[in-house]
Amino acid sequence: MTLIDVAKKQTCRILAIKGPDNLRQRLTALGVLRGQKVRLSASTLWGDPRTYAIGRQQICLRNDDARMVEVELCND
Amino acid sequence: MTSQVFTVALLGNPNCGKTSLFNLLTGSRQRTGNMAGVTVTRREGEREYQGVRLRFVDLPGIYSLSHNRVEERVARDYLFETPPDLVLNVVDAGNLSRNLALTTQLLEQQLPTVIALNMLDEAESQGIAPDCDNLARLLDLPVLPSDGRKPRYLDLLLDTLVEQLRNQPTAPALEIAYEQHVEQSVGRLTGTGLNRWQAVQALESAGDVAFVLHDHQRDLLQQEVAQLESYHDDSAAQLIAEGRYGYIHGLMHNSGSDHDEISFAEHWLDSVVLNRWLGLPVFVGLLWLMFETTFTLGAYPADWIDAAVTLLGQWLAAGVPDGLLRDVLVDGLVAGVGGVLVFLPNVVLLFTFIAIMEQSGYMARAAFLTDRLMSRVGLHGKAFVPLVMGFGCNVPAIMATRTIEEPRARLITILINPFMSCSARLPVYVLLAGIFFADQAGTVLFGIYMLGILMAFTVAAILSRKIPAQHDESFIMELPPWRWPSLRSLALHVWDKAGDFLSKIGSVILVGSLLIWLLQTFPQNADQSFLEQLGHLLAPLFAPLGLGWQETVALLSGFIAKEVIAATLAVVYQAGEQDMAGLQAALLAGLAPAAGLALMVFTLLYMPCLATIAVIRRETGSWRWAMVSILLGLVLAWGGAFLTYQIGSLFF
Repeated sequence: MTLIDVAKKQTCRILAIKGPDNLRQRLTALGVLRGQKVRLSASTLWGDPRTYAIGRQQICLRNDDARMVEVELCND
Repeated sequence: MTSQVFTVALLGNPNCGKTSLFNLLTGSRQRTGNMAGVTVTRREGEREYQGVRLRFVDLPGIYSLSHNRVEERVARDYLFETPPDLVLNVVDAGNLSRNLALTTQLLEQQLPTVIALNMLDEAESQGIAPDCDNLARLLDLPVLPSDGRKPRYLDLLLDTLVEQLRNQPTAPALEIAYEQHVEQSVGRLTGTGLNRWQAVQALESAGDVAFVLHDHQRDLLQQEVAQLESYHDDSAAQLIAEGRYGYIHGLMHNSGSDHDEISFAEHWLDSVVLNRWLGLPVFVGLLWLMFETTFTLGAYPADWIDAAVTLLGQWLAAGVPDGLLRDVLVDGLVAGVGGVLVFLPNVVLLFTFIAIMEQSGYMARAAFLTDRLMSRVGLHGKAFVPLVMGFGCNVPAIMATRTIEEPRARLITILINPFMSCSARLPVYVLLAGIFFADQAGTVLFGIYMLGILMAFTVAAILSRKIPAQHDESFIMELPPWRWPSLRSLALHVWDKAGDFLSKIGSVILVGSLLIWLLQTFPQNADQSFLEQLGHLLAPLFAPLGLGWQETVALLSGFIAKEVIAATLAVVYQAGEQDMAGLQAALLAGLAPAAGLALMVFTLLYMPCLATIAVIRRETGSWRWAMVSILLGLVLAWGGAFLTYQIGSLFF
């Protein structure tokens, strides 16, 4: 699954970040890395872009970009 | 005695409170922005302390030194080409890991660094405040508490800076142990003569660096980057970032602080403001409230200023003997300058609201809410800040579009910016709305601004279909935490803007009023003054809009600066009248309500003022786009005002 499949109240862990280099570089610079836990924190009227909570940060991503982030559900 | 001069560069993540601290350190009038790009060009300020002159340089807020974006490059090039004596690394105590990732880059580069641990109060209230002494010991450099809002930590910070500078600071070389393949690549690159930090930075930024890379180094670098990618499925940048975070987490483990709870109040605020259904209505509601308050609250101090202007006029009328001198003072200067001065409170209020939106963190949230709408018309989410800044003044707003990297999105943002009604046009609206629509003045004001926004979006939609896009820029943005705006920087900012407004009154508007008065007074003993002749000449063009020769000359004079429109109306209609009430009565008698509305619409849409045209020319690099902007404005203004007058006449 990818970030856009994360529903409210679910917590996921980042498995991999794909996509073009500048996207990966940007996410990396913001501290979005493999192994981190992610939640969906807000969505706009159109469902795009959405905001994800990663640690104490809230990061806005368009769905096209969010699709590049592979995640898995956390069960803890 | 000539004192020693030292340069201190302030560097930190966006939203870490860096600019507030800079203001406190230099006492200069600067503004803080919550979005990337408010500090695109670096700013400087000085301070004398203990016989030493400290020159502070405020670098743009960045996340990393090896990231291919405008702000990052500005900071990176500055640090490499003109290394400061000391880097003051501003670190947000509430988000230590990510902020320290940048610190590790500084230390690898062996830049002498002092850490200012900012936003400590915020972190303390959430129970995640790190221990400065412990952090200093772990990182082997001075770590000091700081607070851009209160001067309480300032002396300690300055003491440490001066002490460090006097002792010719050296930086401890930080060596992070990266993943083994990365280390092998670094090894091979250093074999070609690069330093370790240069090798790391080159890998991290895929060769976009400030220092020179020779061809053979560049070739090797490309091989290494490709190889790392093939081993790991991760880019070199990701692997190195993981190394940095690994190192930082090691530190945190030792200092016992890292935590990821968001406070309840913040969570609650976001759940309303960013709510899927409530978000946009709340945004529109806030904008309405902003214009309503600008009008209603601004009216009180405006009355006092008006009373003072009236008194001055009466006093001059009584004290100065009859003749030309009295006329120029009373009908030219007092009427013209006073006619604009009255709107100072409205302008101050508008700027206060914009500054509060920026500093509280709401602006970034509004950008998030409207991103989809913006991208529909070929704009970028980043266009939001320049557009809202346009409500203040289009000139800095157009310069702020430099953060938009995709050329088409930037060009469109520049061209539609004049439709964002700047504060110079506010006096005209406030004057006319107050006369013709006294009961719903705030709503009319809101409607005019909305019309401007609507027009901007329509034009953007059309332009985005005409101009080909170059590449798509991604919209990845961090929402800053909610913050109370600091009264100090709010006051500085508003004071600064009020000063701009006043100095414009003292220059452009003063001269403009005098000129209008001259044209209106001469030739004496003739049927029509020069101004009237000019007005009558052009009046046929404006007659379908319901406007007379007085409004025609007022609009003409607005080419210089939009505030002059109100001043001209005051001078032209003022003959014999001494206060605002007189001007209002004269306008009410001279214009139909629908024509008043048409005049507002024309003022909103017609060509940008001279300063804006000049900045459009400069930022787009050609007169062509400046001409497009002028023509577009004139055509839309005439059409819009025509429709307004014709349709409005049916109702009022």
